[in-house]
Amino acid sequence: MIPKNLFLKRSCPLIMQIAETHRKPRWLPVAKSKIYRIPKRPEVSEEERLELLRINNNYKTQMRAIRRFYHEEMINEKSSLQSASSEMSQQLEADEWEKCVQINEKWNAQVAAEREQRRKIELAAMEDYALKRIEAKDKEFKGRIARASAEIRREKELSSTFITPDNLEAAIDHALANPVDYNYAIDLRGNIVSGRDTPIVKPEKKDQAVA
Amino acid sequence: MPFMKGRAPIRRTLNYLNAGKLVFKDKIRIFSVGYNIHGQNNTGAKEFVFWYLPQIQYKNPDVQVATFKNLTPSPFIKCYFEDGRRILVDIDNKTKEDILEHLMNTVGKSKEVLEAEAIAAEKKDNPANFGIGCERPCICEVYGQVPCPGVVPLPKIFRGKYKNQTD
Repeated sequence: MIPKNLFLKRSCPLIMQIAETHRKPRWLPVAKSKIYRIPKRPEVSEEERLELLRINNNYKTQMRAIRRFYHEEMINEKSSLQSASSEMSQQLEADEWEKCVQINEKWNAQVAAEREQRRKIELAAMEDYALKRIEAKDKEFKGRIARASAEIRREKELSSTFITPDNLEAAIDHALANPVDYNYAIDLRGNIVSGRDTPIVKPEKKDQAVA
Repeated sequence: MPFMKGRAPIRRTLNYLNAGKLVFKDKIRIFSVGYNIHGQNNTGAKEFVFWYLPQIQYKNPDVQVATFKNLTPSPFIKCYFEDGRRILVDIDNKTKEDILEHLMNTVGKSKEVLEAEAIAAEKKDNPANFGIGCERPCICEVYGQVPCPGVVPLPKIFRGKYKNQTD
């Protein structure tokens, strides 16, 4: 065997080869030597012709029958296979669908149960929160009311000393009888030095300048 | 999208998209997710949409993937089949891994089917194959192979008529 690499590497230059036919080209006329030659028609006797016709017919009929038989068989087989496979696949698919639905329903039920539980807990938490808020609000209101009532009580107590039209005269008399002099000074020890009668000692101007 | 921009750009890498495990059955046409962005019970659904939806869409280019954001009281997944059937999955308070696992068990193709399909696809797409229905109808198209004798005549040294000549 000749190695293929020999041709691939072009180490051998004889590879150029032309496709050649071993006959006369179609466009050339009949050869001179054959120009008036008339081929003799084959002579077939009547018996032989009939015999050949019979054999041929037999052959064709039988072959057609065989061909048709196999063709029909193939078609039958194909259709039966197809129907069987499609039925099988449909059955398989239906089974699978059933299985999937079951799994999914199980999952959904579980999720629903979990959610219900969670909702319960959340609801309890919300109730707790609301109650706490209500309590806080109540407490605040109560505190406000207590503070307000204390204020009212204090004001009521004070109202006994108010000056009213009834005791206006008495109050005026009392005020006139006890004049209060606010014009006083307080030293660091808290002693009050009333100032209306005490003469003011003005410091010397010279001393101030020196100081 | 520019490279390495935005949140978790790894989601757009080919390796990540190819690593998706969920391949739907052939009959599924629409896959829809409803979820909210607030609430502890929506965390799993939200993360599922964020992390796994790109993979799902990449692995199932013929399936419509829809999301309903902030339109539902509780998160859910709904799949529509081509013959009108539908399957509803409640994904309330579930992690994204749990959801994916469940979907793979119900609406996804099983591992065996996927493997069989991969083998079939590989056989069909093997670049070494040639003939009818393949990428190349004849081996003679490959560089370095012997051309078809109908196109270029076979060298005489290859032919039995000349190779095995007795005289």
